[in-house]
Amino acid sequence: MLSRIAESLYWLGRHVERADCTARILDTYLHLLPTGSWATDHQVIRSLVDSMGLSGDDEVEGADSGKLIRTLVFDTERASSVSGALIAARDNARGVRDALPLDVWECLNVTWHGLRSRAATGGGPHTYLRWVSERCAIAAGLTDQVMSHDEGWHFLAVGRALERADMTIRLIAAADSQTGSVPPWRALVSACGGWEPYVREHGGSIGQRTAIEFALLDRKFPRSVLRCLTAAEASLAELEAAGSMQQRDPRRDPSSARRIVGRTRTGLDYRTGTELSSDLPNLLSNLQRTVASAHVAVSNSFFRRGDEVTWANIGSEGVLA
Amino acid sequence: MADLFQDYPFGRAWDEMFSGPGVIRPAYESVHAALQTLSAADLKARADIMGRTFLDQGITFALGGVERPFPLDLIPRIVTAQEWKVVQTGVPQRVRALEAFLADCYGPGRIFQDGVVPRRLVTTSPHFHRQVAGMDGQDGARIVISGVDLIRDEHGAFRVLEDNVRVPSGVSYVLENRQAVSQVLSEAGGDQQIRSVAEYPGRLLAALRAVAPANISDPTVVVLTPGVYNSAYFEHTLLAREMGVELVEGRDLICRNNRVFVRTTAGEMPVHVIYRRLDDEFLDPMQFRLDSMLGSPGLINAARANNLTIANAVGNGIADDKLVYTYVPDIIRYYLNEEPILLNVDTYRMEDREHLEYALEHLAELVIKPVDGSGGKGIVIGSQADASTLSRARQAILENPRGWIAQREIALSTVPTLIGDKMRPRHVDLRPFAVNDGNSVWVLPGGLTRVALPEGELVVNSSQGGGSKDTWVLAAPDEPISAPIELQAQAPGQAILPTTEEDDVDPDGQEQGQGFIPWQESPAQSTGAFFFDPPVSPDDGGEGLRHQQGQQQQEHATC
Repeated sequence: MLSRIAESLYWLGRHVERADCTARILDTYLHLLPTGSWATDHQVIRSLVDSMGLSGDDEVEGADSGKLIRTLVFDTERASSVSGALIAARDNARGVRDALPLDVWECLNVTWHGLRSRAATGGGPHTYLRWVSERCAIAAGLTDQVMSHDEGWHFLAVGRALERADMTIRLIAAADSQTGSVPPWRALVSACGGWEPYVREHGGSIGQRTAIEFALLDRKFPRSVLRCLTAAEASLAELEAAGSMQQRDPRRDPSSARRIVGRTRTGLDYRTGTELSSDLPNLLSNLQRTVASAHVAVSNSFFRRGDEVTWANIGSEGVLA
Repeated sequence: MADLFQDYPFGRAWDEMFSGPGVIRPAYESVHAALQTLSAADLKARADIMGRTFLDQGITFALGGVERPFPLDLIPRIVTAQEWKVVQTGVPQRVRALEAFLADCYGPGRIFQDGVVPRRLVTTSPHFHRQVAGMDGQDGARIVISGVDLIRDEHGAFRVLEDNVRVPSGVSYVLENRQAVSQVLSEAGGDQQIRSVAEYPGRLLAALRAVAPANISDPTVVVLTPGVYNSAYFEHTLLAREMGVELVEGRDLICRNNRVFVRTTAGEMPVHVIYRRLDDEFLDPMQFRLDSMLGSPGLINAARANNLTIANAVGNGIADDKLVYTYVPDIIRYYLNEEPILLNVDTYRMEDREHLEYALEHLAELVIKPVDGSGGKGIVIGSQADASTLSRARQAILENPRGWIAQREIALSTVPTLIGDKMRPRHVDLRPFAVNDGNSVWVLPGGLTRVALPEGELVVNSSQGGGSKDTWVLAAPDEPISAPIELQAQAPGQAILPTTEEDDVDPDGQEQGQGFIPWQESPAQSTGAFFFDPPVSPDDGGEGLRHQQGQQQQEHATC
């Protein structure tokens, strides 16, 4: 598989997941908070704003909620906003049209065409975010059901798993903050999309320990960090196997990403819920680093572009010296 | 129900559906009958569904940065088996003659010595590339893919308007139009046998594999695209997908020791045949434009060393030159010892004193074309031009007689087209696609019919309100609708070991530091500012790249 295509598929997976997660988080917290009370001083919103690189931006600091929503949801110029992530996903898909099934491409393309008209209908952010979630679900479903689970699919799956882990980790780290009438831990579980599974597992009463344990360690809930890392590890193992069947470039190390993810996953796997609270901040930052390092390792071992070709007799302006 | 064909006007042009008022040609009877059951509103609704499908599937062309569905008129254009015979024999004849001509031009030059064509004609062409002179590894298969533009004159006879043997585009619309029309207007076919166009990708792949370098038993074929900003990008993806080969960009390729490789997740894999969809000038910055960001340095040398086949071959542009076009009948007689099956349009050479005098006298009745123009650029239609345009054209011809030809203005044949709520005649042309595997030339039974939507418009062009029609070639009673293609069995690709360098990958890539790490951004994105330094991919040339990507194509214009 071409490196360029592998990279685009990986980012396609990440961007769709990012749009989905951001939409769910915003939808959850927008509901919980009384209008006007949430602004940039709320931890979760703060975390989203930070991750979009907007902290310190005069436009956003102290902005009213309407303006903040426009930035986080509708801003097509930022690849981290909901709309921006979907645009980025479609751009990536467009560059790998020959490697994607028509249905998946059509889904992303229809979504892209719908972005503007949906945003303009004035149905409010909730309607819009619900629609985004649906479109992301269709994209994810088609990817799993229509696309052959070949090398390309595994790249997509790795991107999706890493992004999902990253979002959940961020959410846990920011969750301990005021959420009005609803307990913050319930908001956390809802924002992960896991309220109903949680209730079935732990009953209706919610506490910090069970909530964090659920989001981090649950073995059945597909959005828990443990499940995300397990999925990433499995796909990375497939990619490693696919790579080793062909003669490899000795400069690449296709198992580095799997080692990084696998090490952390094992650490998480053999941990109990009670051990979590003692060192949570440290654990979370370790997890976050794992995701970042895995990303670097995947890029280095699979997407690495060749050395730049340079001309001995050409100056930097591209004219003959 | 109101008759869609009420007040259908007749002019000088040959109408392909009606031989006279109310007299329908037999081939069109079933289409006409099907249309009688529909109202204009029905047709409009079906056309809208089709447009929506095209948009959703991204079957679009980019115009001024906006993606639009390619306008398709529902009413098909029909060519009978009898009429098609001329195309099916005439196009291969032309391709064979041009093949011989190109091999001769870049080889011994017999035709110049024998005085049939002046050598000056070729050496003054901007598309003559000395860089490929003497390369004969691809003789007989320099024109793997061709699109010879045909029109039908006032008597219904096919004539050649121009040859496109560089990078002819449009075949994807042939495939998509057929699918779209069969989905929304399935009743129009009646009981006629329409020849299939679906075998094109298979035929193309077989031909590309057949023209691979001689010493390769199981060649790897790739399609080389300028990139997503090219207006024909959709076609590139379709061809790669349908052929089951990789669609590569220049940055995916690497040339080393006169061999070409493609960068994959498992290292570098050899490539043997490149179906390139970009112009000669951008193909190899080592030989042509130094500032090209689309090609890969070293491709020409790899081809010269017979390790790579470039389809179509570099330098084919001389055969497209409209001044060379005027010599094609002689070229056919010279190399093939045959009479041309397809006639040219009557053309005047501005270098010829008598021709020039005549043309300048009759400028207002002629069509003036630049010899290397494409996409309808620079064409002046005398009868529709005002005095100042004509005097500018006169000036341009006098300054550079080599750069212009003049042609008799032909009323292109017309086919009924839905305009508003009525059927109206609109001018059409035809680009049949031919595939040459080095031994025989196969013509796709169909082709791209382009229609000029404004009334009386003779230049057919996407940016000037051009649309297209599905083209039906009817099967003769004894003819198969499609023939099976024999493909060589494909063995799994084999990689050779790339050169070894120091292992510079940090085995675990662990980054140090406390606290949270900002979101990672895709390097391929062009949208917006990012939290950390905007990661720009090293070969993302931004505007310049977009501009270069946008340029590559052999657009289609008719007059």
